[in-house]
Amino acid sequence: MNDKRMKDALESIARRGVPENTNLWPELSAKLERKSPMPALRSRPLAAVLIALLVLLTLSGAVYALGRALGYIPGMGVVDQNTAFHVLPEPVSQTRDGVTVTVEQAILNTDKIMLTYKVDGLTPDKFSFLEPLNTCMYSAELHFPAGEIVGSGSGEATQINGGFEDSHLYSPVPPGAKEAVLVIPCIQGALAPGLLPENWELPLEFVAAPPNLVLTMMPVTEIAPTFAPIMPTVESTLVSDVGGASPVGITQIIDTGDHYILVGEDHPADMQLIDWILTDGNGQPLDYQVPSADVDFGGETMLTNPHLWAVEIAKGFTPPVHITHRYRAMLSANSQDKYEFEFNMGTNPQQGQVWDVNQEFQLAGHTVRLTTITVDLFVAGGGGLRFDFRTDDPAVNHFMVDIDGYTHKDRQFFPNNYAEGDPLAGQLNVYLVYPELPKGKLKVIFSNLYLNGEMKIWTVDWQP
Amino acid sequence: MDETQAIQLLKQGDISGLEFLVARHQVKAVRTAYLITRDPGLAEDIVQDAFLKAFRAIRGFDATRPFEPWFMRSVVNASVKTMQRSARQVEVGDESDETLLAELAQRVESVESQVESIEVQNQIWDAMQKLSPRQRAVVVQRYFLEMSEKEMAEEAGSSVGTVKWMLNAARQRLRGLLERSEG
Repeated sequence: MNDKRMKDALESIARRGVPENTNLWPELSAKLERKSPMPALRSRPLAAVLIALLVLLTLSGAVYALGRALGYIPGMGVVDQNTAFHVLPEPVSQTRDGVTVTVEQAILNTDKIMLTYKVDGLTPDKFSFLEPLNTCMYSAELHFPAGEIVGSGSGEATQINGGFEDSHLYSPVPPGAKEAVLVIPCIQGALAPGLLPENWELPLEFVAAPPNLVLTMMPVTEIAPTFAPIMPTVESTLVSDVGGASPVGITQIIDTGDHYILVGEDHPADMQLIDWILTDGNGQPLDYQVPSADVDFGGETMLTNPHLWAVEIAKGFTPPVHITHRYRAMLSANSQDKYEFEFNMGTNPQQGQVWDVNQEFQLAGHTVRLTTITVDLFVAGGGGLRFDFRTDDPAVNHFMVDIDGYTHKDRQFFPNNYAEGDPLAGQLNVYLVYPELPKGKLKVIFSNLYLNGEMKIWTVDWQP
Repeated sequence: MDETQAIQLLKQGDISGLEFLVARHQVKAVRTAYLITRDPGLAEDIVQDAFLKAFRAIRGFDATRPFEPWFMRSVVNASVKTMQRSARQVEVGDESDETLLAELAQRVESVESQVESIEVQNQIWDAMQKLSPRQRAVVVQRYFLEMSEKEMAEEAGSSVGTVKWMLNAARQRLRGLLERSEG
């Protein structure tokens, strides 16, 4: 009944705010006409979805070479080389109180701007690159002359000596924009508000990109993506017999010059990803990197689409590359069983302080041991506790951890969903984050156990 | 035309398939985005963008699965990210949140018809504003989109645990206010 009341209330609120006759199609179809006038996907794919022609898949489908002028710019993703590009002609810099902000590079087209700025002159008494210590809660924005404000989207920051470098995409781009102001409300990583200069404004003017910008883009050739049927493998007694269409497939391949980025999607129902394993044609492990979760692969990122996966491998491997995805089903134990114990944090717990608890307990008949509790500052302005557990019961996946009388801001799990034989099997960890670290005598409650179900494995093969 | 046919057309690049999907899902999608962003214009922009992204990504879409959960997840995520980019965030865990929601619960429970009243709706609306965008999203997913915990976990893919924990926190908050009102 209460759920229904809440639903009814939200429905009424939503109806008041958004009328039934809302119609997005006229504007949408106009955008589609501007973006992609060609009707047939096979003959002219969408500008944002571009794939290199390098695929020879086991039992693969058809491959089409489509021949548009496409390029790949790291950080910006795949772009149409025939659109107009503008750039920052030279770096723009400001220095205040020993801190220097330099906009090093900006590239923009009609859809997005990739902008890189560097901050240096930062000292350890005022700055830390560790996200948990960051007190700056506001991101950089671009302010345009007509009043548009565009926040940063996908991207990343990397640490440099005495500071960091930040590369992010900003989208959308106001039509005809040739200038903007980069507004940085505060420096990311500041250990306290006001400790570093704030409210930076760097005026930027963009000019038409020189012709050699096209030459420096990585060439991309389009093909129609295919899902390769997979031969499943059985690894352990927990693995079920799988068959039928594979839920795992490669959808894009990008040649970056000295690496390949393989992008795919997985759709296994009711499964929790354990890991990927990459091996070469000789069965040897392949090193790989996972691109930043913010990288745009044709309008989606691994943040917006959790089913998206991507791996970057260096060229020169012995083909084919085998990409093995291992999944685990997760099942509720459907038990109300709880375990409570008292624990004294003391009056002044310190960062890094560890308690060796070594407490064994049972939940729904499954035995787990709480080994340690550690003070681990997780977010600035708050307090974090890490609970480390071990179990010899491979069925245990994770369970809820609460401290009576304290409402956590966040709770993160590292469940015990490792494959058999993994040296980490049997470990599980829980982080609890509070606005203020709990102190004194605490009642800790474990409840709501989840169990590991069957494991399934699918493998995708690919070679250049 | 049915949804399966529309998706098939769209996979072949025929935008009449998209038109069908827009007509079928746009109102619910915009209302979902509105409940998270509180801005009807922004909600429309988010949903338009989500449809465009769906158009671009449709070849990777498993047509054996229903379109709506896949699409709504995109809308919810985009709404949360848009709000998270905003400088105006309200932290969760404020004592005044509990007081406000407890008072609200009493009003919701005390009179059958009050759930329909504009005043109570406004109070719910204001209370939700005090949640973080991610918590607001799980409330919308659970109560407005009527997704089960399992469906929310499945749609979250590899972040199953995080979705379940956030839902648990949001449900505990709501359960607390309802139990208080019944007590």
